[in-house]
Amino acid sequence: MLTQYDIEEVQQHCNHAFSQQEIVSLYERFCQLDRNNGGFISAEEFLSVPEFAVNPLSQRLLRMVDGLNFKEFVAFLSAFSPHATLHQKIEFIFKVYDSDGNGKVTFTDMLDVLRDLTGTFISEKQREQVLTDVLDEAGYTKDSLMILSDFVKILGNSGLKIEVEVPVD
Amino acid sequence: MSNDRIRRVIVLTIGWIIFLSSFIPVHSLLKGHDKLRKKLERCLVELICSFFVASWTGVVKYHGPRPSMRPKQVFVANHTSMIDFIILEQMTAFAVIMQKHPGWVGLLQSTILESVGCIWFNRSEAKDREIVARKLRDHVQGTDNNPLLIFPEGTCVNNHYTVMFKKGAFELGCTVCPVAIKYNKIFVDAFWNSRKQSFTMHLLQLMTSWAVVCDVWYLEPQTLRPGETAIEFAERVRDIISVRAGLKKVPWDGYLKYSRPSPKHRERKQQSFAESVLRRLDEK
Repeated sequence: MLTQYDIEEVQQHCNHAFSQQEIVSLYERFCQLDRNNGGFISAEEFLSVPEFAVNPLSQRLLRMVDGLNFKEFVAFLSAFSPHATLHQKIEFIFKVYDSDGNGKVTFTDMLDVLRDLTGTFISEKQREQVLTDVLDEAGYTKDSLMILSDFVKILGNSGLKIEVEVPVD
Repeated sequence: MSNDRIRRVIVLTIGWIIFLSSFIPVHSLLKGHDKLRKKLERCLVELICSFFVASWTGVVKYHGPRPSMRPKQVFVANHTSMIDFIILEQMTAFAVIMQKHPGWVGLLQSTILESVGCIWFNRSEAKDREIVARKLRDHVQGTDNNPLLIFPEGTCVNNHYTVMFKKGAFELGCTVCPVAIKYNKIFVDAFWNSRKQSFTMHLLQLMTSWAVVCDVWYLEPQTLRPGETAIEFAERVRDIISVRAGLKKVPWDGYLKYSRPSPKHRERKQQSFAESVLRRLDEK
């Protein structure tokens, strides 16, 4: 059971991205998914959500979210809150690309994500072509090492919308 | 133990004593007189179900005309828990199609339910659907069989939504009579989450709650419309039931409770993204 103190601590940790009711709903969902009551949701338990299992980026997301406790889980989800800033959302996307977490996204990192997204339906050559063209258009080259501010520059005016509504009873 | 719980246990025990002391003689002694035996067994099953319902302080409000025994007709209902079956059974002895359970429930299923006519299926067997479809067809053709009750969702759902109906019940060439069941959550959450608790725990939980309050609506029988496929028919009936019981329709397959979605769903997403990327590449 969550106490008022717990809820406030979680709220603090996610920078007030969610209201207290939303945190209570998220906790219910967390407990439902955490079948063996280990205090964290394992990769298996995440994959039991069908929409998650069919997402082509599921393995990448799993790496980011596996083993998080509730407080960290809510902080992870805060990018999806309607109250999150565009910067926070772009930062989330950056973290998905930056799989080794060193703050830099290379051509190969982006190629890996594109491969996850397109599977066997497009050749490796075509993928490289697309990526080179995209980088070219944005003023970068194959050897550019992108950092967060580069992503912000490119996606800043894109009208990006990644939002989720947490159902409140 | 509080007085209330003692009363419920007594009600249930008395029910079982009456039932078993009548059922066993009827079943063995009237072996030759099938019609009479079947009639008595039907009444006894309805009786024990009423005792079960009473033991949870069940307050069930039935709406609509009571189901009648006619050939070429099946009943379909939304599914929340095994108790759905008991609640409907106390009014009319239906024949039912069920997953065989282990333990004491399985024992009950094979002895008592056999008398009202039951069809067993096994979710994990691949060829099972065809075998079951044939058994269903045979059952509805028989004039003497009890009306068949089918839960087309294929699994227990939380009584807020309905998941996709399996089309098996809708391609038998029969009239389909929809039944909607809605539990009042204020008294108890009747959803049996079979992944979280066993049926025994679920029953005990019901017996120690305030009451099981629900509404049952027997709705207007439906037939396949000309040009309608079995799947469209199933969706139409699901619509009728969902509207009546105030449930939200969702497009999910109930069996996803038990297994992962097949990789082709992910592949389809990859394919559509790849196609849009290739289109942009061609445009250059």
